[in-house]
Amino acid sequence: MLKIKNLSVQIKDKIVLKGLDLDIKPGEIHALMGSNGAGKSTLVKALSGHYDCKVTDGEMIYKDKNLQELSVSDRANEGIFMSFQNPTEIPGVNNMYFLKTALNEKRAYHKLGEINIAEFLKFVKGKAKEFNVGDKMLKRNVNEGFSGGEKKKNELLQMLVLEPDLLLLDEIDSGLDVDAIKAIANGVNSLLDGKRSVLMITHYDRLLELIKPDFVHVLHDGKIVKSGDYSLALEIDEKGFEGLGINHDIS
Amino acid sequence: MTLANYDFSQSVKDQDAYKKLKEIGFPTRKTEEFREFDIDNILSNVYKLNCDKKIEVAEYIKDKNFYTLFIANGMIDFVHSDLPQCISFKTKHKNTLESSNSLYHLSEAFIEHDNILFINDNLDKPLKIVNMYDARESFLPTCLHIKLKEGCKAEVIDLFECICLDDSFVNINRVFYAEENSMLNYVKLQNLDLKSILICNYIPKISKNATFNSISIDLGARTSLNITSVLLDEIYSSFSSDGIIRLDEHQRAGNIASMEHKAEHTNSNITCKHILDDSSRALFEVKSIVKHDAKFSKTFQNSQTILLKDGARINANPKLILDTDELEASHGATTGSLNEDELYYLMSRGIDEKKSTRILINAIELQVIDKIENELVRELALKFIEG
Repeated sequence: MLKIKNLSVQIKDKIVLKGLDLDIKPGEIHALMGSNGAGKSTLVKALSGHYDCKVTDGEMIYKDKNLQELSVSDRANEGIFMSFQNPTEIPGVNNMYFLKTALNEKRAYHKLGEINIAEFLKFVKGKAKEFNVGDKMLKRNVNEGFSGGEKKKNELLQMLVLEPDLLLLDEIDSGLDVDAIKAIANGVNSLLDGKRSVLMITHYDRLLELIKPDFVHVLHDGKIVKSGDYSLALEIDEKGFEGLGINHDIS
Repeated sequence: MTLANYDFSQSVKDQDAYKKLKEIGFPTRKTEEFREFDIDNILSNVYKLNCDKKIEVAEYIKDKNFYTLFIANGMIDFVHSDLPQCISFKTKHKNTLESSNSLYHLSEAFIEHDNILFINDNLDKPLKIVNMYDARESFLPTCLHIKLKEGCKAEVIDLFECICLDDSFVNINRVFYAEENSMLNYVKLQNLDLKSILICNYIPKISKNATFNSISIDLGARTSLNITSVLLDEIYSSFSSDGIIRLDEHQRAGNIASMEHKAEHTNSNITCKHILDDSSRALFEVKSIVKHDAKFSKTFQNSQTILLKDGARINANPKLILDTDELEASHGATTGSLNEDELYYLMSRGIDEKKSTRILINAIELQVIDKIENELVRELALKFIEG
């Protein structure tokens, strides 16, 4: 599904990713761990086409398409969904309107007709109820005045509505209590049908217990320096990165 | 005729206004406020005075939620209008007001009588004035006074639509009288032909404890200006004006306003949001004067501008002239581009850049639309900005 080869990414004057390789096949769940500043968020931002990220070398091939040739919106409509670490507040834009527009844009991209409003409301409200996302959230403006937990739930709701093929989860568990993490994990797991893939960034084992990864990678100084299975995450939890011989000092 | 070299003695109908026009003189390209507005060209273009071309007003589909007054090519059409009993119309002997705005006197000079619309009771439905135009190379001066009886409340919408206004100059005078304890809520919706010029000269006369609220939305016309002169000389009188100016290509639009506080506890507040694309230009030239006797007054000015392209430009000059210490006053102007994070967030959910930009602009405009108290008027304004 996704093949990243020798990827180098620069943000402003700093080279953050320095020749990163990663291969994600359909249905696989990958976890990306690493100390602060290692380049984890930069990787998912680069995949979704963030304006700050300048790819200086390498390539990102997704479903046989070169991502650099696709706009941010085309990447999304091709099935890439990045869940933001700090979702942006957009005053004046109603959440329900935003969700409906996003869904219809995706449908138009795939040459499908617009979903009718009644069908849409039934679909969204059903998802919101199933995963305990408050109805009121739908009537408010996108993330405006939302608590940290509400913002993450809103990201989940968008994910459930847009049904992406590749889920990029950037610390979707940060700032959440135990019950909220469970709710988010349930939502993500409900999407996993053996074809969809996940690349998730987390600092904590808690999320990995609920969304079991097939592969765990450690990112350090812009490169993947260690890969393994779920037991690697447990080892990191026990010994820390230094215990695995990964120095915290980042050049 | 050209206005700059016109021999007014031929057809002037109000000598008093003509005299004041001569005294003040036309603005020129050296007049600071008009620097971006190519006023010399506007005044030296060749126009026909008025236009008697008939407009099929009957074909206009009236909305039963509104009372409707048609003004076709500047002429009031009572036959097709639909007004309640509490609204009456009278023509009265001319009483040209004091104003330093020569463009106000320009229209007055061509008008024989004052056309006054009296609103004598609370309106159960908003009044929609539909200004329709079908004219070429014409100068169309029109004047209308709207007088709201004391203690009453009314919503008035001025809708500017045109079939064709090629190279025409529409110069409108609107004089409002909000009598004691009344509230007049006025909304201007303008989306005229890109070959037209529209100048609206506003004079609100606000009595004791009365309020005049205005919201103007300017999307069309090659050049559009709102020139407002307010004198707050009665206690607890209040004036507010909010605006949206959304322009592209080579459009020009702006607000020139002067608010003078002469009585205690008077309020004025003027804000405008400018969304400027391509090589468009906007102006926010606003002056508040608070005289020594106008203690405990409040005056606020704010211009907010989003520049979508490097070629777009705003000239914002909010000015405060304060002769008393006992007041609240603020003025400000911000200029920037659309928030990149918001744009990226929308696009990351599959909404293309053009549509995402449109959504964010609508969100900014909604902040103004939300200030419209009346639900029907709010819906009308919303449909208007959504095109």
